[in-house]
Amino acid sequence: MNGVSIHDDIRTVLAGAGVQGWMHARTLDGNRVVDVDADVSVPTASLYKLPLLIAFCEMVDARLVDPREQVCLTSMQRTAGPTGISTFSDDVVMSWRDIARLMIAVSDNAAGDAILGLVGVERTNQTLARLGMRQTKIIGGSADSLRGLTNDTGARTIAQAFEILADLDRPIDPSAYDPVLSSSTTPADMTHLMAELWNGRALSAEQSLFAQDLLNGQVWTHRIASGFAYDGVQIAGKTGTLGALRHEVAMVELPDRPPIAVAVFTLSARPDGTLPRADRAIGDAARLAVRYLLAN
Amino acid sequence: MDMIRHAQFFVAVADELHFGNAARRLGLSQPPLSQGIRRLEEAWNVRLFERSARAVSLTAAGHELLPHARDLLSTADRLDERARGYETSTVRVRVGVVPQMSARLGASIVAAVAASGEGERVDLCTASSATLIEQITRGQLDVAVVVHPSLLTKVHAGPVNRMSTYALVPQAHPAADLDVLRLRDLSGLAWAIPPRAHQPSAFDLTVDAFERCGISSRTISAADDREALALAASGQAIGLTIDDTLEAVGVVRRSIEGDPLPLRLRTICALPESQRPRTIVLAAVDDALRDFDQGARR
Repeated sequence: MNGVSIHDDIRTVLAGAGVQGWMHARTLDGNRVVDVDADVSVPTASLYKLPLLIAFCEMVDARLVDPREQVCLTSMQRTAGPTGISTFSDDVVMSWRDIARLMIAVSDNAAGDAILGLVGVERTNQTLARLGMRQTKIIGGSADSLRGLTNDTGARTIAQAFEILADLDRPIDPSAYDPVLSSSTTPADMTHLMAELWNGRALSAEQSLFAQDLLNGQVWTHRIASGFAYDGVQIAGKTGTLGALRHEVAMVELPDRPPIAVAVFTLSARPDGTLPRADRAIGDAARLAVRYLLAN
Repeated sequence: MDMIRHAQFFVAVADELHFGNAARRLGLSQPPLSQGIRRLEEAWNVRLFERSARAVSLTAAGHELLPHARDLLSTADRLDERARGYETSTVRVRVGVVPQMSARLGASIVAAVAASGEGERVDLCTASSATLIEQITRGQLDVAVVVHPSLLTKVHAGPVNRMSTYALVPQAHPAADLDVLRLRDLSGLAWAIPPRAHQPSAFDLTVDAFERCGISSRTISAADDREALALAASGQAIGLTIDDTLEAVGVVRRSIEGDPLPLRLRTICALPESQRPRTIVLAAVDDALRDFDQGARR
């Protein structure tokens, strides 16, 4: 693509897909970056599970929790969601570390809220402060977010809330899309978190490997991974999705090349629940940034 | 020092590189011009021109200061013009609409804005949603009507006005004779709709509607009613229009059951939207859109 600059090329890709986008990509040492409105606050959607993972691992490092401890997650008051434990009918008994794995691998909302129940909002924000993520705040988990959305839309159920959100004839501005009123972060803060984790500065060696392994196990291939659809590429990341918000944060490692941290956040003009063009644009933007940083 | 007068001297000599010609251009004789340039150079303590026996040229300082002198003169001209025209200047409301809005609708919007009393003159222009949004954010337009969905985060947008559409079907197409026309009956031909670049999100939405219905989503670019009608009349494509009076030989205009491809329009203006004249104009435009659609469906 012939753009005036990498930033223009990325903006063109995102606008062409019908989304507003914010992006940051960087080398591990931070000496080279791609910055497209990277310091703008955007609601996290499920990205809150990423700093939550780090906070959980910190607790393990501090021996405040045994990751192998078996926990019972009852089917009562289970956070709704399309994946994992959220979809189960019955009580579940699993270890904390396996719950954390589901939280990352399939963005399991029930698992996420279980971990948040253990770690707490306050400790999570302390972790953010320790990591130097000054533009990030977590105010709640998945259940809180879904409750807020249901209230904002005046819906009776979560399913109805999402229907209203996707209604083309009734454009609304729910607080879920407002970074002031919801958990929020910036692309630059997220790539900073990934770099700290990969540089061994966030956690012990053992917990660093554990966290990286979980992120490597994320199953989604439709966003950042869609920009690198061939064997040998390692993509370790976390998506975030809520209505028109579609995000992903990942460490992208091409064979024998240094890892590049990428964070792409988007807000689509169309309120549709399914928007593969937006997902692919995230992959395209990531590919452009990674290629640029590896070349220069 | 009369800065403007001296700037005129400076620019004239810089343009002509000849004191005599410059003086003639200014309607002066040469000595007052030379003295004026010298006074300017002394006041600024800068040499603007190199004068040799045969030629005049700009010094480096002269080169650098010349554009500023030109700016000063053009600003002065603008002030003069604005001031002279003050008595007769009008308040213009600049409105932009997308090409899919028929001539009749454009006219009724202009009439509504004029009747709202917020301006003596209403200027109407037509451009794609993408362009109109850009012009609103740059302050080149006061109000615009754009297609929804579009990326509207940088503007204030009013409610969604859903306008019913009619298929423009080539007479020879089997669907032309059906009692009830469903979207899935309009298969086998391309669709004449505005190009993706004009409105990427709305284009994708329309194409997805075709795909979801199991019909071909091939498109031919048609920015407005004229182009759509021509493509339908020549049997090349099925068009869409909000104009319930549009007619042509060889074309059948039909509503589609369930109105599955409406034209959704939103009236936009720059943020902040709280300025009173703008809200009145926005309301007037939204009323005109609603009236048009209700009239068409009657």
